[in-house]
Amino acid sequence: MHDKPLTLAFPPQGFLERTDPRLKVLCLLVWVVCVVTSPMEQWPLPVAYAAVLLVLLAGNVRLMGRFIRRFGSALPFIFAVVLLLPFFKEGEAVWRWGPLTVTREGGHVARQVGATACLCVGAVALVWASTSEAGLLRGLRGIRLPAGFVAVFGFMLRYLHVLRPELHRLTDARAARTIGGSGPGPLRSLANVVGTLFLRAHDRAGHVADAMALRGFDGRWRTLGDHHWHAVEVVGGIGFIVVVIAVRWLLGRC
Amino acid sequence: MSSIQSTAVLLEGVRFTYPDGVEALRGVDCRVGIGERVALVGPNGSGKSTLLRLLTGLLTPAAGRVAVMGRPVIRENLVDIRRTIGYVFQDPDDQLFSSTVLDDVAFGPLHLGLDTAEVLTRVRRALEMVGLSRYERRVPQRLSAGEKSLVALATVLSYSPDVLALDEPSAALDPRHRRRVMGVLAGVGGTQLIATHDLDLAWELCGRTVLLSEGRIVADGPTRSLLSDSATLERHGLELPLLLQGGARAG
Repeated sequence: MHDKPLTLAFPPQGFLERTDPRLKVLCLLVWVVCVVTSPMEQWPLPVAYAAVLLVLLAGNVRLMGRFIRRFGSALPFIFAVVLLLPFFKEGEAVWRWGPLTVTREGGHVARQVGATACLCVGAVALVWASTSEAGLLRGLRGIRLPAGFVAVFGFMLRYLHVLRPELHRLTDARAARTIGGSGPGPLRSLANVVGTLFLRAHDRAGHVADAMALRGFDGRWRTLGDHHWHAVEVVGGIGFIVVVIAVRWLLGRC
Repeated sequence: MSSIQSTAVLLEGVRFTYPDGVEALRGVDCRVGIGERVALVGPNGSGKSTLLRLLTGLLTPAAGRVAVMGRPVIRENLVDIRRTIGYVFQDPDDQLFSSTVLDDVAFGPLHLGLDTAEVLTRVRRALEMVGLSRYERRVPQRLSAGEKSLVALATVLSYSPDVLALDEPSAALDPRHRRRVMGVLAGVGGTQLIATHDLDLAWELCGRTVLLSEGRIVADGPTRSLLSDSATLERHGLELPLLLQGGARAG
């Protein structure tokens, strides 16, 4: 019997893709803690953080497309929050229009939240763009997240690829049987599609649970041991963490 | 060897009704010997899949007795039963739930409590048996339907069960992958129960065929004679295997 040669969807290239996912997740955690605890009103800080991200991206240009897609998908949510915040924070009014008031404090909080969210989401998007799904799961296991949580996250990633084509088939079948137009008809059939997809997902979840039980799953997760750390990667990771903490400490004091 | 000792699968007076009232099995008696390869054929809804699920303990019979390798299929024995029987789902996406082929094939041996070195040896052997030795790092969603079926087979071969229960192993496969699956099943040996609509597969692989219809066994005998009996097959919504249909038309 013949088999095809090993072909991965994204064969790893560049240092970021080759880096151990556990190290990337660990660095991401440190990054998030430093960014969230930083006083963003001091402009050099967010600029320095953004520069670190840009340097990483510049060293891995191949990831740019994937990074932009992932980062871009989160931006509308960040904008929605940032645009609403100035209207809800009490303080000195700087602009009024009917019942709407924008406050100075609101603007300040919006800038802080916007910068923090962009930097954190940017880092998450970079790790996500440079790591395979299996690698992400390995990284999460590596930082000792509960095995059940990692498994549920893994199922979500795995079955998105199964449910997405199923959704397309259902919407195609719906489109083939509806004429379109307005009113409750199309909405009702869309609701039917969503309901059917939910039932199919539920049904599949039952089958997967059966498949696990049949292969000995008793509620305790067992996984293959992880590989050893490579010294070069560990040194690189420690270097990155030192840089981020130094930026936070030195510029945060100014 | 006594009859019980040489029995891999035993069903006595087995009845099963689904919660919605559908009576799937209405008194099934069947004995499969160790090393036998048996095809379960029958129209849709005849009870083939239900019968296989009863063997694994996923379903519990309303009446009757089920035993695998001499052990009754009851709650207290389920851990041992599931080490003994390897069930392959019809849809490989139900069977392949991990993020890589390696994790999926290793899942069974790991949960048997084997150490990592032994698990890896078994994974490599199982993938070699299905002809996919270099697929360890592949992700299931990027495999073709045929490759998924072969990996699904490897997930049970990795823990070397005494009995293989396969639900439609050739469904939705192209001829090349169907042939590969058949090659693997022929090479594996051991006791096999194959629920299938693919009568040509049954003809080639199985020495014995059990015909189920409306929850009852209506025929049980040597595959070659049962599957040549067009009258019996037609009475139960089946047709002669394709390789006999040419001969029948010519005749």
